[in-house]
Amino acid sequence: MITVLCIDDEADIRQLIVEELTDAGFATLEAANGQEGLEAILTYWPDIVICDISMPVMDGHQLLAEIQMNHAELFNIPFILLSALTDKDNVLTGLRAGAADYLTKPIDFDLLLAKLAGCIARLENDRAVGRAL
Amino acid sequence: MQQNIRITSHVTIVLTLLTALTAFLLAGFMWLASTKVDDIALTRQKGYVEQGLDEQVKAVQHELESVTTWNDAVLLVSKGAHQWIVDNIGTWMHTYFNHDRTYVFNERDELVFAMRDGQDIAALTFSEDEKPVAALRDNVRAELHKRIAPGDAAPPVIAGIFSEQILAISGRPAVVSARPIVPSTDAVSVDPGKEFIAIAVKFLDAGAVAKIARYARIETLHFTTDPAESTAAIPVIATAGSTLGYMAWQPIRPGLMLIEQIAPAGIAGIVVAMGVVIFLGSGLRKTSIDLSESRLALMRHRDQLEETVTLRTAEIERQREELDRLLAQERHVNALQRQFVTMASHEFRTPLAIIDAAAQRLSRTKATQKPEYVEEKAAQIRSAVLRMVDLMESILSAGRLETGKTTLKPERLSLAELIETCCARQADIRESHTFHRDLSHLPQTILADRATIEQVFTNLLSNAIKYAPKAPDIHIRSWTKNGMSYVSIKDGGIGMDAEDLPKLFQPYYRARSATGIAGTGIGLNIVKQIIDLHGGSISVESALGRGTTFTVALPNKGPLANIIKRAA
Repeated sequence: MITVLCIDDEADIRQLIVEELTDAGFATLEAANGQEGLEAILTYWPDIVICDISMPVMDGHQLLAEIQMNHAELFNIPFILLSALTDKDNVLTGLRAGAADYLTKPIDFDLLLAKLAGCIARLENDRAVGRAL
Repeated sequence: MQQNIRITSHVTIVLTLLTALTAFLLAGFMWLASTKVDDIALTRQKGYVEQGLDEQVKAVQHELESVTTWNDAVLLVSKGAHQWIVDNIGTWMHTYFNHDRTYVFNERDELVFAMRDGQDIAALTFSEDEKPVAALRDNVRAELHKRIAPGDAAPPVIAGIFSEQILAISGRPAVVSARPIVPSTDAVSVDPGKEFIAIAVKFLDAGAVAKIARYARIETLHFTTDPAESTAAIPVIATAGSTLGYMAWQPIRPGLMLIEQIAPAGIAGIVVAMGVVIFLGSGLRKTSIDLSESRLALMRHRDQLEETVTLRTAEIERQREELDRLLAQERHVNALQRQFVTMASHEFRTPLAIIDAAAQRLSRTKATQKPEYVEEKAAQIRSAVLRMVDLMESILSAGRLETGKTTLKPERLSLAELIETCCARQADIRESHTFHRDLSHLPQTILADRATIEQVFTNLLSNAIKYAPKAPDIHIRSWTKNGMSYVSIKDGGIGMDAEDLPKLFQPYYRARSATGIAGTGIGLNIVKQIIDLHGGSISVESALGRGTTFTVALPNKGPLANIIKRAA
C-alpha cells in the first residue's frame, strides 16, 4: 500500500484530502506544518508527500529547501505542492526546489489522483529498475 | 564699513596736511611782510625816483637842442630879433619844458637875452649865484675854439658840442645845460667864432620834483637838504661830486604793505585754499561715501544672491528628497498592494478549496453517504463561506475606513462581555489555544460602536492565535486609568523585529516574521483606524521569538470624549 503524507495547516482541507485518498486506497499521514511534516517524513518514510506552501512555523518552500540541503536521502520522495498561491514565482520556486508537481487550490481531486498515479508509476518503475540493477 | 572709515581717515589726513601747508605759507608771508616787504617797497620807490631824476636831467639837453638847432634861430638870434627870441626860445622853454631860466650869449660872450621864471629880464647881469652858468658857457666856447684852431685832434662836430652840469644855484639844485645855436640844415651856415650860445637852467626842487613824484607815484616827494630824511630819499649829487640835497618822501608805514596788499592777498589765498580743500575734501568724502555705499550695496546684493542660491538649492534638494520619498512610498505601496492581491487571492482560494473539495466529496460519495456525512460536509462548506464573508467584510471595511465612509453608532456596552463573546467565537474555530482572561477591572459599560469594536478584538485574538502556533496560552488583561479602558492581549508567539513595529499598522504591511503565515496585512490597519475613530489608542510591544502584546485603550465616555478633551 502506498503511503501519502498530507501537510496542510488547514484542518478542513487536510481532512477532505485524507478522505479522498483513503477512498482511493492510499494509506495516509497528516501534518499541520512543515516542521511536523519533516518529522513525519523522517519517522514514517511516506511514498508520496502532498504539501501546502503557506503554513506557520515552516512553510512548503522551507521544507523542500531543508530536505534539499540536509536530508538528501529523502530527495527521491515525490513532492506534490498543493497551494492557494497561484503566481508564477511560487510555482517556479517550488519546481526548482525539486517538487514533482505544483497543483493549485481549489483542488480537483481527479487531477490530484492522476498526478499521484503518475508518481506511483514512476516510483514502481524506479524500484523495478533498482531491482534489476 | 571699515573701508569707509579708512577712506574718511585719508580725507582727514589730506585736509590736515593742506591746512598745515596753508598755515605755513601764511607764517612765511607774515615773516616776509614784517622783515622784507617794507625794504623791497622802499628800494623800488628809490629806483623810481632815481630813474625819474635821471630822466629829468637827461631831458634838459634834448629840450635845449630842440630850440637851438634850428636855421631860423641862427638867422634871427644873430640879428637880435628880441621878440622872436622871447617867443621861440624863452617862453617856449619855460612854458613847454618847465625850464626856469634861459640865457643867450653872443659871439663875444655878452649876455644878450635872459629869462627867469618866464620873465624877460632887461637887466642883463649875472648874480653871484649864477656864475657857474658862465663857466658852462666858457666850456662850450672852448670847444668851439677848437674848430678855429684845431690842435692835434680832429675838430668836434658843432652839433655835438654841449656842456651840462648839475650844480647849485642860489642853494637850489639845478641842471644847467649849454649849447651853441647852430643851423639844422646846410642852407644856413655860421661863421666859426661867431656862434651864439644858449644856456637852460632847470631847478630840480620845483616843477621837476612834481614830475618825478607823478612818475614814481609818491605824492610826498620833495627836495630837502636835511640829511635826517635820508631813509626814504635819494641824494642829488652835483657833477662836481658834492651832495646838493635829497629827493625825500614820506616812507610807507611799517606793515602797510602787509595790511593793505599782502594780508588781503594772503587771506584770499587761504580762503581759496580752504575752499579748494573743502571742495576736494567734500568731493573725496562724497566719493568715498559713494564708494563704500556702492560697495555695501554690492555686498548686500551678493549676500542676497548667495542666500537666494542657498535657499533655491535647499528648496530643490528638499523637493528632490520629497520626490524620492514619494517615489519610495509609491513603490512601497505598490509592493504592498501586489503582496495584498497575492495574499487576498490566497485567502479566498483557501475557503474556496474547502468548499470545492467538500462538494467534490459529496458528489463522489453520493451512493454510499450517510446523513451525518452530508451534515459534516455542509458544516465545512458553511464555515468556509463564513470565512469568505468575513474576509470580504474586512476588505470592504478597510476600504470604507480608508475613504472615511464609516460612521460609528456608539452605544452603552460591556467591553468585558464583548471580549468574552469574541474569545468564545475564536475558541469555537480554533480549539488549539486557551484564552486566560482577567476582565474584572473594566467599567460596567463604555460608550462604543459594537460592530467595529468586535472587529477589533476578533482581529487581535485571531492574530494572537495565528502568529503563535506553538504557544497555546493567550493572556488578556484589563485596567482602567484616567477615564480610559485598557485591554492587553499577550501571546507567546513568533513576535517580530523592532524594525517592523512602526510600520505594523500601515495598510497591507506584514512583519517579515509572518512569512508563510496566511494574511492580507489589512487586519491591524482596520484595528488602528477603528480605535482612532473611537478616540483611543493602540500600542504594541514585541521581540522576535518572544511573543507580542497589543494594548488597546478606549475612552469610557465614547468616541467624542477624547476629541472634545483635546480640543479644549
